[in-house]
Amino acid sequence: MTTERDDQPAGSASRRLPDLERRIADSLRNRADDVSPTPELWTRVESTVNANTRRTWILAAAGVTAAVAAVVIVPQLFESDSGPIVGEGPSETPTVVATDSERPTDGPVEPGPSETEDEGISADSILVTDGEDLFRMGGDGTRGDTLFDGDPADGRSIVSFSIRPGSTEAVLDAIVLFRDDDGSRFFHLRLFDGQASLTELPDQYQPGGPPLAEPPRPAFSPDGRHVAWVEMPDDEQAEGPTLRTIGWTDEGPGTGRPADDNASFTLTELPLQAYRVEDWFWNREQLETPGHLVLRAAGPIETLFVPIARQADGALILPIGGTTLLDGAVVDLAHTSCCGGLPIQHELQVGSDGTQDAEGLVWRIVSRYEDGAGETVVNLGATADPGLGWLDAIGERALAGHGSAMVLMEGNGEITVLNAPGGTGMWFGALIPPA
Amino acid sequence: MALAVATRTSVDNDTSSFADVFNTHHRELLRLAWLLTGNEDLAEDVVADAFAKVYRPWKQGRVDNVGGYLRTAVVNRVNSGFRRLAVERREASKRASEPTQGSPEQDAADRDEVWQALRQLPIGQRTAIVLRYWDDLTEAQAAEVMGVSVGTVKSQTAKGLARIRHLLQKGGDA
Repeated sequence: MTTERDDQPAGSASRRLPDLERRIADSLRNRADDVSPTPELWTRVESTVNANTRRTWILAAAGVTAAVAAVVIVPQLFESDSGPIVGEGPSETPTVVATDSERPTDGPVEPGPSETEDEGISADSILVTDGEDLFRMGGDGTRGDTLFDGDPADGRSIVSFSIRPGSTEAVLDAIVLFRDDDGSRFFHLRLFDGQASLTELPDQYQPGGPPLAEPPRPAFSPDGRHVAWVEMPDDEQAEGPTLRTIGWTDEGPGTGRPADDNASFTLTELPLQAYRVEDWFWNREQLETPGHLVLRAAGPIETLFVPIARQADGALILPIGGTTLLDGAVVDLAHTSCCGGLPIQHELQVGSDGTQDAEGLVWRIVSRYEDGAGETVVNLGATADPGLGWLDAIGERALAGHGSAMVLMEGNGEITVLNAPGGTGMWFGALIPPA
Repeated sequence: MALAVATRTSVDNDTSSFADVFNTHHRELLRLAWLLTGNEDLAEDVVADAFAKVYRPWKQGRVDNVGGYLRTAVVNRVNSGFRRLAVERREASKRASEPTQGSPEQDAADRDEVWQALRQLPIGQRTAIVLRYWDDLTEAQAAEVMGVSVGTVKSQTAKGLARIRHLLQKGGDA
């Protein structure tokens, strides 16, 4: 295949080849020459592209309830005189076979960047809490099975959760943050063999410090080996808030290695206030190359990158310096990749300049492409609470919400507003990788 | 409270010319997908998906090298869906064991020992070899398409060649 490729540079495989390589090249060429497209190929491309571009969502909402209101039809894309030229061939029907479920393996989990690519979103692809229950939801907003049926009388509410990387719809681990009058507690949600269980973490893995209005939202590391959160130190003279991390294995919290299970770091570059850990990114291939935590301040709308790295022995370190403050409007980031292209950065932004208007805080999702240009793709509307907005992404899909609305963005640009019946409005959700 | 979803408004490419993009690239992409999957139906699935995926960014003028983009999409799709493809291949293998009247092309493929050896390679090694020796890419170009390092392409290619050599020797074709 030679179209649109650079001129053949030195080292090209087509130059003089040893015998085996030449035989391989000949074999590949001979076999490939026997392959011709069927007329159905163009038909399928045309119908898929037309379907993808015909839908534009326009939404209207009253109070906290959103509804799909209209579908805009885009003119036909293809003129008859520009139709394709395809070879003759038999018409064949593609087959689809379901993928196998696989349990995450021990050790670092490496979710493939395109693992979820092109798979239709299933009925159980989103984990959601309304503050009371934990349940799964389909890509069309249909509520699925309930994994935890909360009791409104017990005074507890679910604030957030973080799904362990490597989880799937069939085998899922997550850390769930509950809050009650006494403070915050972490629980381990496990879904395995169709059964969900919720187990309170041992005391040594629970958040410490004084109770805060903004509870310490946790996040898994990209390899699933650590969970991090930020808590306030008991010592009022401390130089900054405390970043705590615990170890995690396929069996749950705790590794038995004190350095992993009870690591804590003083964030001396940050003022003493509550932060939530929104995300944790790092370059898994380069040890000691800092990745970063995304922290959001509970008070003023501030989002920070805090460098974090892992040493060759697996221990975490926080390099000195390098903490950066994001653009004032950006409160969360997520990346999707689609179709082999460069990742697209999605930003959850609030207000035009982070200030509160008469209606409250206006949330929007901005997609930023490889050329740096940003485009508002979703306006989520307004809330009064700056702590509600969140953004998540896996593969080519992104999910975002702000307490009264939740939207799913597909790699092809399709946007679906998700609404589940009932609930307290404390919406929080995350995408579950398919099995 | 109003809630609205905006969509992209800029359209930089003439949509009708997407057929030209298809005409230019579909045949070679299908061959690439077929070499990687060994299955015509799946190859067409992969290529149809690749065109569907590229359409929106292409229409918005965000794709400079549409051929490269499509090639990468095909390779990614084959690699990401390989567990499913492996199941397909097992089914195809069962069907192949049944006596059938083969086409001349199929007969030639069956006699092609190098091709039969290639089909036994893990997908990473096969992808590296197809990109290097059929698509004629350099190691750096293949690495870019596969989304791996040049070193990985080198090692995958070397392992694939060694495996093919072994299989040919085992078959008495040293």
